[in-house]
Amino acid sequence: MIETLFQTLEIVLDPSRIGFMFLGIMLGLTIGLLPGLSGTVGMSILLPFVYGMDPFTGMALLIGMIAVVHTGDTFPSVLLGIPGSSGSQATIMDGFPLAQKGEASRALGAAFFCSMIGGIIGGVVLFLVIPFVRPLVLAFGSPELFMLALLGLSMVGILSGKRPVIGIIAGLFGMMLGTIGSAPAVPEYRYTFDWLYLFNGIPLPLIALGLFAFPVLIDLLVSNQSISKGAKLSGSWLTGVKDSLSHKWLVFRSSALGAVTGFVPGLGGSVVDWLSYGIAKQTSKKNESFGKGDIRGVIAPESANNAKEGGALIPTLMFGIPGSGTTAILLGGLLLMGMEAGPQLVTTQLPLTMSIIWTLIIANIFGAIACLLLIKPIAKFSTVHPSKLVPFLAILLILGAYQTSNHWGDIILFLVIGIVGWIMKQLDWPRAPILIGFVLALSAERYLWISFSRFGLEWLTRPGVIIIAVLIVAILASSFFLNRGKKIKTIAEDKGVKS
Amino acid sequence: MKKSHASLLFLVLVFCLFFWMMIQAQSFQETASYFPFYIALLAGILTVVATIKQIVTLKKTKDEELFHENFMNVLKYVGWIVGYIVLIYVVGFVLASMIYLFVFLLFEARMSILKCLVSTGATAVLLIAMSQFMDLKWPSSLITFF
Repeated sequence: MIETLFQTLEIVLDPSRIGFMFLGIMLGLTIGLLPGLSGTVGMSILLPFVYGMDPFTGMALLIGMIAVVHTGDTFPSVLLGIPGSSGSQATIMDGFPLAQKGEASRALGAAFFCSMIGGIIGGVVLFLVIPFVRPLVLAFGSPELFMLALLGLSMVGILSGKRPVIGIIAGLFGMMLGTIGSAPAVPEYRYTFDWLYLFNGIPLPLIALGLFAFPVLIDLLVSNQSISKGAKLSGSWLTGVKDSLSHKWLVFRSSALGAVTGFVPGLGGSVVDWLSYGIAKQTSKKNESFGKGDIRGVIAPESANNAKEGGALIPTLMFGIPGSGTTAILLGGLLLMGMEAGPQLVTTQLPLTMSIIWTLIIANIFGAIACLLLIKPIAKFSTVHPSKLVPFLAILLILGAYQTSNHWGDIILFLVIGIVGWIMKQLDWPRAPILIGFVLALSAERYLWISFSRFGLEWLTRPGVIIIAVLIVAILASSFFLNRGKKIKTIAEDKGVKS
Repeated sequence: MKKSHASLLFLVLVFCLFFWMMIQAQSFQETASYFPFYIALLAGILTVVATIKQIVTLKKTKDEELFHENFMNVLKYVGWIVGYIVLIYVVGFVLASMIYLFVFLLFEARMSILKCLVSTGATAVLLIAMSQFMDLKWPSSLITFF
């Protein structure tokens, strides 16, 4: 296998294939930069071009694009507090506060470096798991997948800070939004008002754009101050790289988590960054600064979201199970090139799989370098007066919102969710739990239904279910005790001040 | 309006929404109803708990913080975006974006006419190029110029 790996490197480094890979990288970075556009859009653009291409060249183009979407999407997340794509939602939590302190370059430097390392680790994981992948994928049944959805939901408690009840309400609100549209078990359309647009449910990018981008537009204009609030741009991207190196275990841990979570079909995509952020917050010492501009809050999700791509390719390529829209189109791309996903990709077609691994690694390195070079000019956006920046953003966001399903409902919902998001922001309601609840609602309902209909109550006794349940209880208990500890500490400090 | 009152009002509205969703869930087929029903029920109970907590806090402490100190400005800027969306519906995306951008830069950013023209023109070119190369779709409108 090692021999094939090095033989494939020669094929990948062929100048014409490198050219196509760079084309994919450029498109991927552009897609990531534009809020509302996802990897699915990029894949749809590239798909017609791969028809008839040799599979190595076609994969260089497609994987080059997929690999760097979550590198480019860090720019809007850090500089504007707007998620560039669903994988960079958690980066906002600390990336944007850092930009507000004038430390945008530091946050971006750390993010790009971690994205690169995460991407490489994702590629390595893809390489390492090839021999063991089949029994591992088959070990996850519906009960385990339902428990994994609950594990994601347990992050709500961690992200809610001092108001856990409000956080849980927000998470449940997100779940209710996720139930809009067709039910997974029976042909029933729920809460659609007979409006055809809602039959497929609300698109995730709209929720993210509405909750996070719209309030930013309004608040920036009302504050009449630039994002950096007059603070001078300090710190270089090198500081961010040094920060990442000093938190090397966090980078490694988050990348490994990203690769493993990406591996679970239908779960990884939008949850991995929150999962990684929540665990980093939970397990870090002195975590009070999370949410206020802590560099560890940037390192964790950014390491995970690029590593996820390597993990997500495992079920896609080996079993033809796409975990997301992007990987589903990738399967279509394989067919257009005369290939088919399946176990043959680790036997007779092994060189193609190896070329995908190399492309993933090389694209991540070049994508991160391109972004690092762009930091200085793009970071200046955070110093531009809002009245000169917001109208352009408004155009871009409305265009981005419309691309989610090319329906007027996209724009109307963007406005409605945006207003709700703005009110929540004013009332200090956490908005992140809504996204988590929304993302996990469909999979939680679907897997719960399958578990009950197939196993009755017996699924509760499966070893995988019990292990994940113990993990959930441990996370919730540690969150409770940490919060309690903090409260006691605060009261003691207050008493000390008063006395 | 004070922030604490606004918070209370929002909680009541959220409770009404959950209550309506719970009632509505009962009209779905059984397999489709249990998940939204129990989620809405749990959310409704928690909202009542949060509302009671909010009322208790309201009685205990005097909150002088306003919901928003500059609410009229908020309405103004929301109005700009709503106006832009209405304009898109009437004249189409490209023309509406050009008009919105030019007028906003001129009156809100107080840029010179020349700078406004250059910015608007450059944005229009970029939008058309993006549409061509990235195959982006534009919203349909009553009158279509492009």
